[in-house]
This record gives sequence, structure tokens and C-alpha cells, in this order.
Amino acid sequence: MNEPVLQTEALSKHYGGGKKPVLALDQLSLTADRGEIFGFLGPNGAGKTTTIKLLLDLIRPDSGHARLFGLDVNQHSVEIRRRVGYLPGELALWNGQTAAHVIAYFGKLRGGLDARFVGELQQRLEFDPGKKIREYSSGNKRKLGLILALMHKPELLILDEPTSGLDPLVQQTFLQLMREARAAGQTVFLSSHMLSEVQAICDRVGILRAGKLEEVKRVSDLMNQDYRVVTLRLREPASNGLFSSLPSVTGLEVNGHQATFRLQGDFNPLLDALRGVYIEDIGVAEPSLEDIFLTYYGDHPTNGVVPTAQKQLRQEVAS
Amino acid sequence: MTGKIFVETLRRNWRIMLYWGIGMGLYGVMITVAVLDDKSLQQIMQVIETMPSFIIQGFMGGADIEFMSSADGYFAIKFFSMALLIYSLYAVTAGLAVTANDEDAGIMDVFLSMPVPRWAVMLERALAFAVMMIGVLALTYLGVLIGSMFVPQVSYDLVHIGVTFANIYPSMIFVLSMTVLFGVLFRRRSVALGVTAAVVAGSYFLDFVASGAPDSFLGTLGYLSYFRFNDGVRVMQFGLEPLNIGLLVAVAVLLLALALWRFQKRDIGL
Repeated sequence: MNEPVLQTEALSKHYGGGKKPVLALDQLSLTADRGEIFGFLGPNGAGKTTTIKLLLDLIRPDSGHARLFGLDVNQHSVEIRRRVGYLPGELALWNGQTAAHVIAYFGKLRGGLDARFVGELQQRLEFDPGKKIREYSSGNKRKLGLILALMHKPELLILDEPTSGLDPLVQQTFLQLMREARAAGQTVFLSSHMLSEVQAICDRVGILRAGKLEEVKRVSDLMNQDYRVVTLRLREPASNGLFSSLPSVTGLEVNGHQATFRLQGDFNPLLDALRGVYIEDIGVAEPSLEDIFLTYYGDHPTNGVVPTAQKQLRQEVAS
Repeated sequence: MTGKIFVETLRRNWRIMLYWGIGMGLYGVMITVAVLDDKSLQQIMQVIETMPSFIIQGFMGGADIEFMSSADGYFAIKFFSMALLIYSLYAVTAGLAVTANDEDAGIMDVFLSMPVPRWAVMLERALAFAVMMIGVLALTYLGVLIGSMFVPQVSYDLVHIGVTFANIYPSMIFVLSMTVLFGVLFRRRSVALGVTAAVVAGSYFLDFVASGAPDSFLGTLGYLSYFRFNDGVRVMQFGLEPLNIGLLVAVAVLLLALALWRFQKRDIGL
């Protein structure tokens, strides 16, 4: 049996000592296999970056273990980092140095570079390495970060919000690079709240909330949920009362003559409840990953509502 | 250790070393050429003798008035009584550049994703700055040599002056190690800088006051100051003090070892 490339067991981390330590990660156990793209989803503060820093041995867990390539991340830290490419959420580098110098320096620290491959990455990401770091926009810094993470063809890529700040064309290039990495047998562990990119490339996703892993599923399974998103346009103004007797309706949003909700199970109870109501239009859609994602953080019937977190998440999803 | 971080640190900081060396070298030239002849020295000594004894003690330490009326004595009191304070500033900026600057700027996260051990990052950078400190001292000494050529009528003992420059080095290493440790302990660059600056200024003040009252409790307290173990004026007159050098080097090594241990253990970039 193949050993997972990435494995955590009951990994926990608190921040801040004293009387009120904050629990950033709570008993996280997950695995990622060779050649897999694993998406790590969650709103800000959910524990995504903490997990990544633990995997890279930048911070140490209070309890639990993390292993990459079967090796303990603390005991074999240097060996592991040789085989990992990392893109932080916010890339900071020495402002007075040129990108070309930073690439060369990091290449030396990694024991050498494939200059042709680096040139190819620069070309595909449309990146000019001749400028000083301070002269780059945030999008260009992101491109540099991707080059630094990819340039040594690592077995495992750990990417924290990789497409944040990239323009749509470069995002497409990034997605293509990730598909090529997977085809080459590389594993990708990426954190994101860009659901479209997760839906486009990830094989599995882990959904994190307040430091706890809520769910790990294949994207295809997650998409195959037992509900549909229904939008009705009525002649008369819609009201919540129309749907109050239907337990199969959740996430109801009423806006004037329009009502949008999730419908579980059959349509018949809905049609019965709407008997006598004039319906101008009906739209039925499979749930997007965004809809599914929101059920984990928002008004999911079983997990309670955290209004501020839900609001923040909706803003992030919208952005 | 591969030496790559060491070389990169040298490459990135040699200009700053050069500016410091040239600046201090010009200061050395200025002090050296200021003494024109023996008559001027006698006049200066007459002024010094009018000062209160504790101020004379503070500046001259254990040196005697006869030595002070020589060109070497004059150079020692004008240059070496202040030199360590100025060189300490360089050592503090160097110490912050070992880890604190990068950690505060969020660069250390990316850097430590490279396959390099944490201890090697700290050690190679600290060694590079230790080498550059030699450069700063050497450039200053070069300034003194050049300055002495402008005043051939004044006989400086350039070997003794050179030895006294070398005597500053252990203290600079001590300040470097202390700053590195504070950078690791306090994480924030500004806090590390504030604490180190307070220690340096406090040490200087304590030594100055304690030197004025050597037989009192304050005099004993003066041993808490690293300036006490680097009396340039005494070294100019009597030569190196191996015990003091050994003590400073030993404490510097201990502080660096503590910093290495702590850096290896703790979370990065919080």
C-alpha cells in the first residue's frame, strides 16, 4: 500500500500563552496521496495557514503529529523541505534585491536549478525577473512566489491562496500548471477560498471551520449532493410563509417576487404547497461548490449558524 | 553548513561595512591629524588637569597623566574612549540583521522553507557579520595610518594603536551575540532594538560613572558593564588584557549558543 505523501494525526495548535490561549487547530487528521490535488477550504482564521506552517515545521504543534513522505516534519525538516515547494499567503522578500537574484539564490540553496524550466515558468506566467522586489505589484509578487515554489519540481507543493491577486489569464495558466504537476505525479496541497479554482482542479477537499475539520470529500462526491438550488419568480410578492411548512426547503432567500432556496428530495411536496400560486418562472440548478461550501459555514441545518463567520464567508465568496 | 548563506550575507552587506569603515576611518584621520606637536599636547593636558577628578577618571580609567600627555595618550582618550560606543551601534544593526529583520518583515517564513537548518541560517549570518566587523575595524585603522602620514612630526605608536583596535573586536562580538539573542527572544525588531540600545547606553553610562568612583559600591557595579572589560586607554598603555578578552568571548559564545538553541526550538513568524 502506498504511504500518503501528507499525513496529520490529531494535530492541535494554540496561539498565545497566558490565560486565554486561542485554539487555532483542533485535532486535525487528514491525508493527501501522491498525484493528488487536495484543496483545503475555509474562511480567514479557520486554521488553513496554521496547518501549512505546521507542515513546514515553521511552528510546532501542541499535540499530534505531521508527516510528509512518511517522515516526521520536525525530525526530518531539512530533508522534507528539499522535496517541498511552498508559496506563502503573503510573499515577503528582500525589497532591494532583484527577482532574478532571489531565484538564483534560492536555487543555490536548493542545490541547483534547471534554468530552462525556470525560463519556461517565467514565460508562461509572463514574469520579468529583472526588477527589484519593491517594484513589483502584488500580482507579480505572487507570480514570483509560484516560480520559487515550482522551480525545483518538488514532489509536494504547499500553496497558501495561490491565485489571490492573479489576473484571470494567469489564473488559467496556474490551473494548467497544477494539472501538469498532477500528471507528473506531484502532490498539491492548496488552501483557498476561491471555490471556482478548487472545483476546477482539486480531487478532494477538506473543509475547515474554526480549527476543526468538518468534512473531507472528493469534489465529485461533494458536488453530487442530494439537493438542488431552486429559483422561483412569482406574479405576487413572495413570502417566507409560503415555504414554512416544507422541511425539505432550506436556505430560503426572498427578494420581491423571487424566492431562492435549496430543495432536498422530491419536488412534489413543493408543488403541493404552491398550489394556487401563480409561478412565472422556475429555475433548477445543481448546487455549485460555493453553495455546498456555504452550507458548511452558514445556515446548514445541522451545524448551527455563526452569523459573522457566514457574512464574512459570503463576502469572500463574492470577491 | 554550506557557506552559501555566509557568502550571500557578505554580498548583501559589504557596502554598509564599507560606509561604516570609511566613516570611522575619516574620524580616525581627523583625530590623528588634530595633534600637531608636543606643545599642543601640553596645552591640552593643562586643560584636562583643571577638570574634576571623577571626569578625568571616567575618561582615562587607569592611565596616568604622563601617558596622557603623549600623542598616543591623546589619541587613546580622544578616539578609544568613545570608539566602542560607536562600534556597538554597528554591532547592533548587524545583530538585528541576523534573524530579527527578516522575521519581522515576514521573510523568514519563505526562507526557512528552503532546505537549510535554522541553526545554519543564524550561524552563517552571524559569522559573516563577525567577519565584516573585522573589515570595519581594519578600515578605521587604515584611516589612522593615513592620518599619521599627514603629521610626520608626531610619533604615534601604530602597533599599539593596532593592538587596541583588535581589542575592540571581542566587545563587538559580544554586542552582536546579545542583539541576536534579543532578536530571537523578543521576535519584534523594534523591541529587540529598544532593549539592546538600552543595554548599550546603560552599560556606557554605568562604566563612566563607576570609573569615577572605583573604590565604591558603584565601582563594583561597573563590572556589569561590558565597557569595563574594554578599556582602550589602558590597553594603549599596558597592552592587551587576555582575561578580559577571554571573558567577553566566552559570554558572546554563550549568548549565541542560547540564541541558536531558542531559535531552533520556537515558532517562526508569529
